[in-house]
Amino acid sequence: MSLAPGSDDALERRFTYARASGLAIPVMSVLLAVLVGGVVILVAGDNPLTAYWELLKGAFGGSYNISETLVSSIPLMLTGLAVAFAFRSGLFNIGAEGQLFMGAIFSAFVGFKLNLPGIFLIPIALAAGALGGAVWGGIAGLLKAWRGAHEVITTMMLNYTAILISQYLLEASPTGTPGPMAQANVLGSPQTPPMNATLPVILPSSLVQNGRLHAGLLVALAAAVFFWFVLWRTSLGYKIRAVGLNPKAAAYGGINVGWTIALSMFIAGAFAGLGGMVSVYGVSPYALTNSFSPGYGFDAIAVALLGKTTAAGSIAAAILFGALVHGSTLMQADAGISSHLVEILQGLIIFFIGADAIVRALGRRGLVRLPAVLQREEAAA
Amino acid sequence: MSLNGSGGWANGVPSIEARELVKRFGTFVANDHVSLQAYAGKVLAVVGENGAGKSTLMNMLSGLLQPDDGEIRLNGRPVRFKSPRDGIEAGIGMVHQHFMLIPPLTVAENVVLGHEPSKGFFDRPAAERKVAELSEAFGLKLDPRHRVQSLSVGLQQRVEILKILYWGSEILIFDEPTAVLTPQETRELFVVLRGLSQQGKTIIFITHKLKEVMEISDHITVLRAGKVVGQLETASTSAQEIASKMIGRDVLPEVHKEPPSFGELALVVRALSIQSDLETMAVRNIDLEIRAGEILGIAGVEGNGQSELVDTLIGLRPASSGTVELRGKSLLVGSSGLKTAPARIREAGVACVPEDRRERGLVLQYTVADNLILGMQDDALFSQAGVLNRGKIRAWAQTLVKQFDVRPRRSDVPVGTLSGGNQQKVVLAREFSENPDLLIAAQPTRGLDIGAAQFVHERLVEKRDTGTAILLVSAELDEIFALSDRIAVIYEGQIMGVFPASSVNEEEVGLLMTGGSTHAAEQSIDLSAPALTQGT
Amino acid sequence: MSAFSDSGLWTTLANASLYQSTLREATPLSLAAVGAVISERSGVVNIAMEGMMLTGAFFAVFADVHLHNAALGLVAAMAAGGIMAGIHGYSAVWLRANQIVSGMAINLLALGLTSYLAFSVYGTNGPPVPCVPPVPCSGNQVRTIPDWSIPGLNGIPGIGKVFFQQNPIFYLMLVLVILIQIFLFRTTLGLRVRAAGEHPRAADTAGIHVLRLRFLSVLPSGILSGLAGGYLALAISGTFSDNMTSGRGFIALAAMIFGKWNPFGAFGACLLFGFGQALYDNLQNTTGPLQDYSTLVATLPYVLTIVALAGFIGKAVPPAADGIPYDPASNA
Repeated sequence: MSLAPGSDDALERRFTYARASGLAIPVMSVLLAVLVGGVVILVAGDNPLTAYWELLKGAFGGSYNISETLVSSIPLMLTGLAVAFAFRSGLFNIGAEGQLFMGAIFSAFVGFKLNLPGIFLIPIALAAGALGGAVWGGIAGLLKAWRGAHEVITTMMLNYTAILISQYLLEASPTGTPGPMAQANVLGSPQTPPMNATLPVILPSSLVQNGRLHAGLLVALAAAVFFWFVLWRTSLGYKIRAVGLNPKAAAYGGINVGWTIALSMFIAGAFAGLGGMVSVYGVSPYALTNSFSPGYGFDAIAVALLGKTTAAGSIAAAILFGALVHGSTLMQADAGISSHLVEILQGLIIFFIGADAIVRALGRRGLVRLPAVLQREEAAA
Repeated sequence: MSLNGSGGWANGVPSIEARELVKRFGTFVANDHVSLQAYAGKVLAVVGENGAGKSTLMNMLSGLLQPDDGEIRLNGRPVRFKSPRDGIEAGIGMVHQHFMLIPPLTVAENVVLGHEPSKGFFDRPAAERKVAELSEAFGLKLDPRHRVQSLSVGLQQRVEILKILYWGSEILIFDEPTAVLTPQETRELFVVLRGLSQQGKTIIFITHKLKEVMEISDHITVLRAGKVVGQLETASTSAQEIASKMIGRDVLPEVHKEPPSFGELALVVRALSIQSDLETMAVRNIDLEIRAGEILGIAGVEGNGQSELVDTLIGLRPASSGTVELRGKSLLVGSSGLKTAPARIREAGVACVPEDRRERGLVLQYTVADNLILGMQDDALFSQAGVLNRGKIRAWAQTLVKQFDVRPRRSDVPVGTLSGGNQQKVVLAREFSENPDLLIAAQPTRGLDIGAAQFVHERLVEKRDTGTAILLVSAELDEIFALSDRIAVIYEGQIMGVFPASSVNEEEVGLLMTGGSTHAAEQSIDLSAPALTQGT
Repeated sequence: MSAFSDSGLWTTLANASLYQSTLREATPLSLAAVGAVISERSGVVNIAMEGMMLTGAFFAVFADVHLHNAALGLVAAMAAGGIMAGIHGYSAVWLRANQIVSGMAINLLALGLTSYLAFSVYGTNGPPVPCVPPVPCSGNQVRTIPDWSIPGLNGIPGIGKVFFQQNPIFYLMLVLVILIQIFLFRTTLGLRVRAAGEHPRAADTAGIHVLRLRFLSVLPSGILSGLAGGYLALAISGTFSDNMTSGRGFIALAAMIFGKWNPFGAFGACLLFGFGQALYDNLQNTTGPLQDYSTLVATLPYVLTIVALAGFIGKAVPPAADGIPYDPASNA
């Protein structure tokens, strides 16, 4: 009655654009980051084309490198899902790193305490890892729900708390006193005793020589499916998204906003906790060490943002970042260009996604040709 | 009648003039070639309904917003304001509807902010002295050292007025200044306004309250749906003339209403008191009863406790004392902040059409179908063991979309892409479908065009006729009278009286809504008079 | 109590060097924290002090080695931190980007950039080493900033060493803390900054240029974080190493919150956290059971901040509009 004639049609068009434009900002952000990163490389006196070529070759050149890229991306997939899931309830989970550590600690604990065959131990360890992360995420969720404590700060503080707890468990003081979980009589960097079972390698050596790709990949993919299913197919996911999009309307609809938020942080933490578990059980030395995470939980923020906080997007973004991580080590070895290029690129990608106005502004000024869908979106706005 | 032909002061050059101003927000045209003139020493009233574009117009005149087209002239000279700074420089000051005050700062700090007496160190004594002098000169008593957050709303408004006077503004714009004031405060404000006008200031007064227009203004510009629909002189017009121009939709066609057939008592509220966010009492010791098949209309100026009452009834705000029963079942035993979970209250048979559908009624990014199950997502109908049954949800949504004539007739589009009227239909469809014993409808037709409003009214009456108890909260008296079987008037959190709709007229109710006395005449109603209070 | 008697705690607590290193630790924290107070008071959340500090540390060393001058090294540190803050301010204020996202981006970018540059500048020869007088400095050594010993005063028993044998940047920091407290609460500009962070539209309608003010308020937080990084590089370690700030930017953030967005409060929290760090370092030199928990002591700043944020020891409430981008053209 109050719609103009033909507006059904107009509505439908707008709706389709909203879907199609999903990839525009992430793709543009990556391209811009590569461009600006290239300038940095140039300024530092290296050849950007060499750098990127070596990076690409390192990441995808041959089956072994592809397998290694995937190995690097497994924990990123899980921590990325952790950030993305919390985002859906409106929370910015900076704390995947801490949740990852707690998952690693919990799962490592059962791994050397329980002398069980893998078929029993691995499920228990998965559960323990998920629980460890969930508890750590849940703390921030509960504090947000009941005390209004801002999750960005609490999760950030919980990160350092978890990292220090892990350090303490391995090494009670930096002078070398062994911690409660440390393996006795081991020289070099402290670690727990090795796990009594490990995640099996899933690619036969006929396919990849010395391949390390382990079943953690299946855990991550299963987690992604779980993420999607919970979010889009369950009433809990319905409530989480409602709370994230409009907490007031959710409350008017009778949804318990605080509890939903806490629960979403609990689940998010479980994802990251699984990331800790697969890091301990999937790769050598199959034990908790002080250096098992090069910052998976921090990279996770970039993964989730780049993946538009979707399950499939996070998996894809994690593979991209896994490729950067693995490719850059070879780039450094072969071309003598610092592997820290990865962090520069990650930082730039996050920056351009956050400041998507830059991408749009560049498009408006015609410096960059925006994908057609974005242009139409601009025109409509 | 037009001012241009009427001679007298209007022939002078306006101190401020808008010529054909246009302002768009996205595709929405908030101001469509709007023109007005205001004169020194005169009060111009700008009237119009909510959403008519009054605030947008004033924000352009004060420099907060920039027009997309058209021109502003000051004393005949065209000006362009890039920011409020330019407006202030040009002598324009605006008292905003939502006060532009910084609660943790003091009165003096708020007043001098942006025009402090000194650069470098903040000269607090000088600021306080100047503010004290100003408040003395204009009869606006205030202690410059008090923090604004500790002041009542009326006093906060004084700070706002002092601020623009401190700027030396000659053109003073008041955006709905009485909406938040008590009648006493309104009277005091009008005294101040007259004083300022006599000193030669130009006053632009925005309101939708016609009594105030008649009382305070010299001339009137009427806005409707972003356009000027009338320029009148107060002395030669009437409230009725303004009203018909303002509303435009003439009056809603009468809703056909069968005589009510009341059932048993549905809702019983006893001695209910509720605190506001500011920890003052928003609702004080009220009693209400609604029978099945009855519409009880709560009439009142916004901000007199209605929102808090609704929030408490649906479990979102604890009561400080009192009881609420639905069909004999206790929903709330009000002691020390007790509340029942909203989900439990919904289960008990309460549904609510909230006052701001975009903020509270809908998840705009959700599809129509998903919005239609909000609050019911865990019902056995829509999910089993926590897993949503998409097929059932879609089928259900299609039925409701058809039944409530939601356009476009599909359930898979985001509800935010629908027009306001169709959004409201989605809310109604959902809340009606719960078959509640009590339906709360808060400002159900706000911002809707006439057709959509009528649709909503008809559906509410239909719902009543199926035996639902309906609590209607509305600031629009014509809506209250069109729908209610009984009318309760709320003022400052208290029920001033409950009447059968047929036994009172709009004037009497309007009087009670403002605390029982008009600002102009000192007449007052004796509240204890048996004719006006309900015998319980 | 008796359990502690042989733990080394009392010996540690009684040693003046504990308090000297408390102030040493508190110096970079305070610089970053009080800088961030200005940014956040104006309404721009800054979680990027870590990255700004790290950038400052690298460019301090870089400029110091190239220009053979420690003071110029500090200037470069402040400029580098300021540029990082400028990027954050530009995206947060003018582009209305999510301030948390922008801050995280700056942190990652700084970590990558400094490590990358360190690798490409010093990768082959290793990082520069500090120049230790009286040996004459060679070209590629770092001119450090030595402590001042204030003659006479530094001999006062107990407090002499604590207060009068410190780095010049420590004294500069003390002055800055006081100046920033005065700036925010006693000056006209400070009043405007606070107004912009509490209610930007009110400030705008009073004629204040909110966006410009917010942008300018972000800069000092970068400049002071850069200075903090310069202090770490030139006064403490005498070189640059990857990720050498090791979370100090986040502790500064914690201190700012713990100090309730107030310069004096933040300084107090930095003293507390610096004390925790100093205790942690000093306990390692003792023997006994307490030493075995020294890593746990290091979690205190973080745990205390969580507790403060949750309102268990006086609620920490940020400025009302902190973190919310301001759009002058919206109709709200």
